Amino acid sequence: MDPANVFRGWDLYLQGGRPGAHIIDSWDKSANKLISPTALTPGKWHHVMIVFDGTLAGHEAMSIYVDGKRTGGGADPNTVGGTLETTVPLRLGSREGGESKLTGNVALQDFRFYRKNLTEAEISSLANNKMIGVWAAIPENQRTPAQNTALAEHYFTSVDAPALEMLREKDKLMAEQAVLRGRGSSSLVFEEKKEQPFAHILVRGAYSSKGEKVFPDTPAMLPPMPEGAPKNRLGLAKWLNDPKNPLPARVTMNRLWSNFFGVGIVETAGDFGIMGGRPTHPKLLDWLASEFVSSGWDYRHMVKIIATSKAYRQSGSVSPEKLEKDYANRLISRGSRVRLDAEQIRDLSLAASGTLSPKVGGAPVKPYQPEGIWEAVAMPQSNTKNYKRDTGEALYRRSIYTFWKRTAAPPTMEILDAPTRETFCLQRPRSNTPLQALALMNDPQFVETSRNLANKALTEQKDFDTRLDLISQRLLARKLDSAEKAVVKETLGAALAHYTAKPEEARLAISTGESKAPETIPAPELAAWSLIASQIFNLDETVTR
Amino acid sequence: MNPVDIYNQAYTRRQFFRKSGTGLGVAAMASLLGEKGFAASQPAGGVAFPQFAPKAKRAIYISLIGAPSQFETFDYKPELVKRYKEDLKKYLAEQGQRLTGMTSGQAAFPIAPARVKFTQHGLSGTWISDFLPWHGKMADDLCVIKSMHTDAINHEPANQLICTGSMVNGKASMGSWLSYGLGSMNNDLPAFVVLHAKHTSPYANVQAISNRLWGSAYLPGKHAGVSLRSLGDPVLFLKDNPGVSKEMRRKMLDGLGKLNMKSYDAIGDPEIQNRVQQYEMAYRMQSSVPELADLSGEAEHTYQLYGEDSKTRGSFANSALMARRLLERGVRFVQIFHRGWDQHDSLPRDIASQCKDVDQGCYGLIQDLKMRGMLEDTLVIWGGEFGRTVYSQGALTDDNYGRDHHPRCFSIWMAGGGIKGGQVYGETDEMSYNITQNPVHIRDLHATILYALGIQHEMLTYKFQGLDQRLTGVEPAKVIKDLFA
Repeated sequence: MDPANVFRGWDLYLQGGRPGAHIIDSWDKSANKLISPTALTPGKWHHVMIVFDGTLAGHEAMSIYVDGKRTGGGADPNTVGGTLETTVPLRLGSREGGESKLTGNVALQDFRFYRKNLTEAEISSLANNKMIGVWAAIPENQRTPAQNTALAEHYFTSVDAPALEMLREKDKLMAEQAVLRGRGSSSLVFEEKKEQPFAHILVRGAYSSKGEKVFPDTPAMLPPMPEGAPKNRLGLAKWLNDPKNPLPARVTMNRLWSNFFGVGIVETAGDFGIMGGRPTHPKLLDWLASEFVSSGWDYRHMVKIIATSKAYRQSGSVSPEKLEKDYANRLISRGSRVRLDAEQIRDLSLAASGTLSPKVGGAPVKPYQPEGIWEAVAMPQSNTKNYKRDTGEALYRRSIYTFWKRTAAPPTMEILDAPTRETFCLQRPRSNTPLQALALMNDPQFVETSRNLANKALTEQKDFDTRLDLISQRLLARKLDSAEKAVVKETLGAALAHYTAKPEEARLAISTGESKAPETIPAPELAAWSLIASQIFNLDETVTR
Repeated sequence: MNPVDIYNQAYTRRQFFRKSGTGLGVAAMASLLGEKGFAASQPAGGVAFPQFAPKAKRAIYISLIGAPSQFETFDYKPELVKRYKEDLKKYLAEQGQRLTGMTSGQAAFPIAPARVKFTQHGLSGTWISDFLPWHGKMADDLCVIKSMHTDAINHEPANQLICTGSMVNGKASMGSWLSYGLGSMNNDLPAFVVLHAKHTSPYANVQAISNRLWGSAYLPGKHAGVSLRSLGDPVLFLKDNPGVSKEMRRKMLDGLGKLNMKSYDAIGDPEIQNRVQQYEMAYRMQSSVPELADLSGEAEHTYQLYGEDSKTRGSFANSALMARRLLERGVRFVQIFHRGWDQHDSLPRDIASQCKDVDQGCYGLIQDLKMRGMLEDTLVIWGGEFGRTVYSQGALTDDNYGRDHHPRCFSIWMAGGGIKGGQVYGETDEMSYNITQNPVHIRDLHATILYALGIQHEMLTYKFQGLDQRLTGVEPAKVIKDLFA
């Protein structure tokens, strides 16, 4: 233990004759202390053992054993610290600096340190080691089973060389496992209940008026569970997969269809009942469903069929006649035009500008967010009251990694119709609002990506046409035609003239975001091209597929 | 989206293509913002609203989150002083009211009389606590309802019930129903705006809220309340990136519009025109919203009306003034949230501070609306989500006590919008435990608010989950016509 540095480390000591221990990160903010309630008997040898398991809650982390028996005693303070590593050496009889907490005359013998947590039985066997010789002297058929067990344990943990080798190997593996576990985060998983689960019907929906007790089963209007299927998730999976069940394949294919065409063959993707919409192409839905089942539920196969279909590859052009006869494109008289989802738009801007981090997995990240979003609605005690934006790579991860506070969702996502994630969302609305226009123009995330895209064009290409081609290729996957280029040229010309005359404005225009603009490109040029990149990013065509 | 809705939208669009010639009238229809002149004709679920002459065209709802105690505001119970510390344990057992986990384990339930003086005000002689002196000055404008009751005993379900008509998450909020039913009255601002007023006491017991309370749920997203922020840009991302001047923004938008219209010429999808319109609307908002949020043009006597606080951005008085500006500019429904009313302990100290936060701001708002001739067709509602208990939560001493949640009665007030001022509606028993006269359920309040705005509550519906969803739900609700002049 290092008293000079917040007492970090650990000790084993006596307090009024009672054995105790500290495991300290920082005294007394983050430290664990435990003292046995009874004193040791003077003049007698005792076996004292401390076990510390930092994965447990503070009040359970430490336990103390005297003569192989666990003693009580509350831990105080009882937090588990982040570390207990110190640079000072382990001293027998005192802390670093010489202060001894072993009051009076104390003798130590056979001090051991284990890199693993021993079980209660192991500790008991260690403490009772002195009995081993006695028990060994008893003929085997006269020993109690407990004596035999203790002898076997002693033999394998202290005598038998191959067993000791295996134990050392096991300790190494356990240590490795601990390191691996430390790298990831734990997640909750489902487990079936041992007993039959049930719920009460709540009369008129009031939580306090419990009605009839009900057990898992399918609703009466749906096919029954297969014969002998357990009433749990396995049974549900079997029921869903049963080719005789007409619904799951249809519902899944309808949803897949709506992912491609913006609207399903049955418009109400979440409602196939009598209140739902009628299918526009019932035979097509039947065919897709049966193809899906007969392909062995091969989702990829179905995606390929739809993506390569004539229907999907149609042009999105709308003629007045089509608009008159098939206003909402329910007859699929043209290719569908659907605005990208919130996450897709953000990811597109990151990817197109070369800003996207390719990192996969890990903890959620907190990218740019305007001030006050969390603060306006949170409780003072909330651990998500204040938004602290991340820095570096975390700002540029794919949107699925964005930290999501459900009562105050990331605003740009919300503005672009992402669901709040508080209730199930069967179909996202696709609105078209001025708030979306403002977000796409002014969210610092998009201002920064536009500048990065402009930078890319200026660095990698030499003239107006090839630079613009690079930008439009990356955002629209096509080159602009000459008429379109003329429009862009007009904006660029005005911007270049403006920023050349006002270089300080140009510098401001390219200073948004954590990443820095390169010094090699003149500020007015980069600012003007950033405006162009933003212009192309804001096109209807960019955010629509 | 619901097929009926798509049909309606499509139908309206087609009509417009034929009638308007330019086709651009369509854009605003599908947007967050409505269009002038549609106020009375936009069909919602096939019915045109208002169905009859409305008493109010617009409304402000002042939501006091945490539930203000009726004992220290409007429900005067002078007799309780004589029963100070009387234990209600036996009485409560007989009443069978479910208690919250915060007091259900208490050994005793001692009566805590209100530790504040009450005064009669105005010609009506309405009793109002001295914590609300400015309310006293406008007693004759107010209709105090002492007989409100609710189904919930905890904040979140209670707030959802009062804001969305259901304790269960996922229903459309009152403001979004009004936006859906009545449409917008302006071109530059949303139909439903939400303001978050700051509470000043550092001791206030604050509850979390979220856009469940002002969201649109199953209604189209454009009807959701838009939060006007008191920190940073009033509307998110309103301000252009530094270095992008108004001139540059205009150039960028001109090019953007031309490019988008080229796509429109090639593809013909009306949604492209819609987007062009939305960008133009955004550009207009960049002028109109700062103008709205810039209070420097307000006269000094107006500030005096609302109180000195009204100069502090984000204060309640400031939000009240902002609400008036929003209504002036054609916003249909403004909801002001003021948190920190959950006084489980230290009630006398904390409710005094909370009352002070809102007192003069409310007065200023009512007077200001009156002076501008707007009060007659603006409905103002003030209230929390439930009431508080007559007995003390925690220790009851001579100068301190707390009160737990109580669903069986609480007080709110309404003003303007055809409401008869200077009246007290409903009555409670001597302990403000049960209602003795004219109970008003939250459903009834909703039905009454809709009625004031020209809507018969059973007719404002939206098909979702196999049900004609309504703000007032499936159980019977009654319009309290006695509240109106």
